[in-house]
Amino acid sequence: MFPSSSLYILYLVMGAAFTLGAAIIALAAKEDVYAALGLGLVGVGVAALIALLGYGIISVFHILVYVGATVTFVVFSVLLIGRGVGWERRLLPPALATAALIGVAYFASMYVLAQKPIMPVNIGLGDLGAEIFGRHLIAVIFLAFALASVMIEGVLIASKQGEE
Amino acid sequence: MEAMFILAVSACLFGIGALGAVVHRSATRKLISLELMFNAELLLFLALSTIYAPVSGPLYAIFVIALTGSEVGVIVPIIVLLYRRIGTVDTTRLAISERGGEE
Repeated sequence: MFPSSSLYILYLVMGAAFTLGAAIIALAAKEDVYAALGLGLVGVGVAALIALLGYGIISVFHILVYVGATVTFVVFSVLLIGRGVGWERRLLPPALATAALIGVAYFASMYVLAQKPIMPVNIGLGDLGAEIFGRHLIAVIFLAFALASVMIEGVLIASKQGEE
Repeated sequence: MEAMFILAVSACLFGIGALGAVVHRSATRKLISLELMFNAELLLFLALSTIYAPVSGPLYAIFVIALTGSEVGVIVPIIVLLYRRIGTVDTTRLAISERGGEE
């Protein structure tokens, strides 16, 4: 995939550092807008790592749909809502311990599955399209209905006045 | 080696998201933290699918990314509605206002 394996590992490390840095920005930013923008950067970093795994099309899809639509939606809603409400300082020590435990449990539960080395794959758009529309057409139709109903639901919820 | 590296990155990202989901009081910040956890899971899923399911893994990833978009499309209007009703997105004040409404 790359001229040398060490270059591939360097790109992986750079992508991981970018992603984790953006996640820390999203966690620690004082303003909600910067946190939402940090989430967008995390999406870009994850897309870069996905591309390094060999799934270039999924990477583009993630940037277009997730960063381009979902995160932009979150950013604009945060802009509408305004300033954030802060965080619970007294919860920080137990929350840090809980997060560390969750991270360790996550690592331990997947440790056995991740023993093997990654084989970067290269799937073409034609193969992916044939697989989706050939073998999973019903799922695509259900997904289209789900997205359409969610769009209508979102508009209805947001347009309701503050009753009661 | 790389799968273990991706697993470590994913676990760190998941832990950061869990920390944010617990300490932040704002509903939008909790949503952002949960999205960080989703990104961690997606990354690990695709890394493992290169080993175990190189063709069907990305298909599920496409469906999951699209469904996440729809999930955010529901949660964000709920947060906006919450803000319009009680004037804040503070989740700790949500229970208080509910109790106040009953009294």
